[in-house]
Amino acid sequence: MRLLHSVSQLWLSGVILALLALPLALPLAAAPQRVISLAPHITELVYAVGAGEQLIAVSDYSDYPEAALGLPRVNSFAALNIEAILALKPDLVLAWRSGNPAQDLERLQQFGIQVAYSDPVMLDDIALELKQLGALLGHAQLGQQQAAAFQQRLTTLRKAYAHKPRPRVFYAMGVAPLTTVANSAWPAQLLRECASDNIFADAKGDYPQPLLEQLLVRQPTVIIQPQQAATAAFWQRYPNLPAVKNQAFVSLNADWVYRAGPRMLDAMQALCEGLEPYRGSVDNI
Amino acid sequence: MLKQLKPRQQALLWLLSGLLVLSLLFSLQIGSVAISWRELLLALTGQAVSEPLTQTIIWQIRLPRLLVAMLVGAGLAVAGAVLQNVSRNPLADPYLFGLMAGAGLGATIVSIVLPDQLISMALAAFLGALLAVLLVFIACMGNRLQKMEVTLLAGVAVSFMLSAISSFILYFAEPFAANRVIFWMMGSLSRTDWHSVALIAPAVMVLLVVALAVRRQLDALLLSDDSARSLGVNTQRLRLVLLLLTALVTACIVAQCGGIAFVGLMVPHMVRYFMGVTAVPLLLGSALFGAIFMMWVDNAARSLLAMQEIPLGVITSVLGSVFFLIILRRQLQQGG
Amino acid sequence: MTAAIYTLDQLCLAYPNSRSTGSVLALDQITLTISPDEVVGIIGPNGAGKSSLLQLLNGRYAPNSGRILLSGQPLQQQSAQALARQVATVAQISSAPQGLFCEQVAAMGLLPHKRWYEGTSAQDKQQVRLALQQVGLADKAQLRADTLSGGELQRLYIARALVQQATILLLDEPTNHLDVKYQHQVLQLLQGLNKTIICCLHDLNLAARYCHKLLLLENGRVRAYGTPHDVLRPALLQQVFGLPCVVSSQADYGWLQVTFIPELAHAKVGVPSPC
Repeated sequence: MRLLHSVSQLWLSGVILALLALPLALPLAAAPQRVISLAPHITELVYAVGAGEQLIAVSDYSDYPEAALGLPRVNSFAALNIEAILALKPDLVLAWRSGNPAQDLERLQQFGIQVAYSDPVMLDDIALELKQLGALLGHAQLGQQQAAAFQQRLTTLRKAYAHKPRPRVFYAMGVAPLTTVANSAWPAQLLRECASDNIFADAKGDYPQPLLEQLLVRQPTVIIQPQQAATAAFWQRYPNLPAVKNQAFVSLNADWVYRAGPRMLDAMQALCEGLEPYRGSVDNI
Repeated sequence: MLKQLKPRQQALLWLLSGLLVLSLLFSLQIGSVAISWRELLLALTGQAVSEPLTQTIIWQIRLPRLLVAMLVGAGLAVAGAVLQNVSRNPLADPYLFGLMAGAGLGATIVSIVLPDQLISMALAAFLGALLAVLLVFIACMGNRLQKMEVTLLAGVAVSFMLSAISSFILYFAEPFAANRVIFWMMGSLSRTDWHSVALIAPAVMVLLVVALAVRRQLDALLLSDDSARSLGVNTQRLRLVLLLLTALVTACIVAQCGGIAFVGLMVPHMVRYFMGVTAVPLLLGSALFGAIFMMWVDNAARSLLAMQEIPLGVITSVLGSVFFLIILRRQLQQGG
Repeated sequence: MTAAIYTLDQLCLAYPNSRSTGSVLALDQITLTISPDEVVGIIGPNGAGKSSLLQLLNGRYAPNSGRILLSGQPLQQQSAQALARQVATVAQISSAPQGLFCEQVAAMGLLPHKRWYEGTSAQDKQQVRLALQQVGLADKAQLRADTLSGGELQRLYIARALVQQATILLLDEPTNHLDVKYQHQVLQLLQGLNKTIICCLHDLNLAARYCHKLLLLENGRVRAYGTPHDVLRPALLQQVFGLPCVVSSQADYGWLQVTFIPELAHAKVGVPSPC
């Protein structure tokens, strides 16, 4: 037990030290030239600020832009391949605080590897990330520009849709089991931004599994699906749902909608535009 | 102790020891970074290597991980052998007290409910595992662990109870965190370092030494409780001590490496098949074979998919069940 | 007169599984002494408390009241290991141990004499060999115990008790499962051991022949305790076993012969009768 305790103590002090050292060390150092991205959205952001050339390895599923496909992969959601990361001798690792295992990152830092975190939660955070990443990777100017452009496009989209009539939508993340989004899940944010009422906005958690009965009771007028999945047969079983009756389906690119990168706004635009035909229809309450 | 063994048993033990050393050397070479034999030997003997990274990878990543693999394999196998002999139940397994479910609950709570990094996942898993043991012991207090069936059933019940709570928490969790907990429960050695070695090694050693010290008592229990008691064995105390020790060892292992199924159940059976049922060859054989087995399972986990790891529990279960069925089949055929 | 090895004083034992106190006792007010080097046979019908008495004598059960002295010391105060060095028990055979060799089973008798770090010496091995020889299993030492017949298994357990080197041997029905030849062989063996032997026996004639003393139990009480001549009285036996019998003396050899004759009474259920 004493050992366990001392281990956790050591670990905690390591974390504190790293946190203290981070703001001091980063701005002084020259722009890092060997960078590893540990999440797909970080990869997209890095390319967006023009620092793609500095990337030497990326995470699984880092498939955009295409240039990233040629880079070695060093982690999955479950674990980092520490040996491979060490062997690549990065001078900066960009980690996703809520997506990468904290213990592994801690381990990396023990080996003296610089780790910086990305953790966008709201849409506006993405602009901030662009700015910060630009500064961190020596592309401050492009980062600023990209951030500004992102912010401006977001504001335009918001203005365009904020006061439109609100359809009742169901976001079908999956149908077996029935899974939807709520609260701070990215698609749930987009639903709010596009002026629509998520019928499960009151559910607990970010990715709740609602009861089928509740879905039937709550009568969505539009069903949104993250990709063109083979769910037609499932929905045909409920012809009385207004959305099914009117064939009111909107599909979204899953990669856009779950990754906190610049393409999130493409998702938002596609969603807002996709909802247009169903606003103010007769089924709307 | 070794002198009492039959030549065949001695030969097998020496063979296993040799295989253990060879496996260790061979496994040190496996990984995503290629290291030549020459460099490996230089690094191991502490001499200067052209690439300092090699030193780090071998001493800080591969060696501790392999040592933990050995300790985990040996610990689970010895715990399984002890439990099977003590309970005279061939299905006894180190996870019998719902340890895995308890550790899972601890890990779930710490990574989902509690604020970030309040206590480490390993400590939480350890506490969860102890909670499970405590619940089982409370449930069985009345019959003082005399009826192992009752203990086993209580373990199953506690297991279900605790994993239900975990599932409930996971249900509300953010999917990445939930996935990580589930991946963790499937077992992995990727988080292990020298601290893990320092935590697990003493526990495993104590279990092995104690089990060897009571080798005669363990053998006497093979016949029946009454028969062991008439030889002066305090069966209740022996059981209690051994159950607690195996639970402690398993809790340490689970806390560091998650769930590694089937090793504790299967390795002792395979060793028994080749080495007989008495304690000394069974315990030593299980420790050696468990260590070798686990090392190779981890090698497979590290290298089957490039740059990615397969959960250990998946591999142990696949390999274990197939091997186990083959042995069962052969035993059935021999039995007539 | 030598000091008694066992002294039982007002012993009572409730059935271990019954919860209500004051219910039927397995053993009721047993008071007797057993002298060293005697062969004592415990006889009586099923359920008389024969096995329970053995379990009291080896410390497996604690009496509910009364006391039991072993060589003058209260038996309950001795450690299990100390007890095992003085008392060896051969239980009724249940099932054969899986995967153990005869030699290994016999060597278990060494357990009470060994500390955890002590190995098995050449002398110990010799002792095991000797014990197996004594019970006629020398040639089966390297065989697996689960290949033995019931009789062989019984003798194997006796060998284990011999290795245990206790001065007192408790046996529960040692002649069950044995061929006639081995019944006599085992009892002769026991008789010649120079140990205090206490055994439950069903067969009254074997008991009469090999035991110095007989203890007749009925419903947990002592009905008679003494030499075979004192105990094996036709009237008493008829009362206890519920069958009329004749007891004859083998003039040539000097031991008693009990023959139950159910035809003399209206009893329907037979008790094992000698052939």
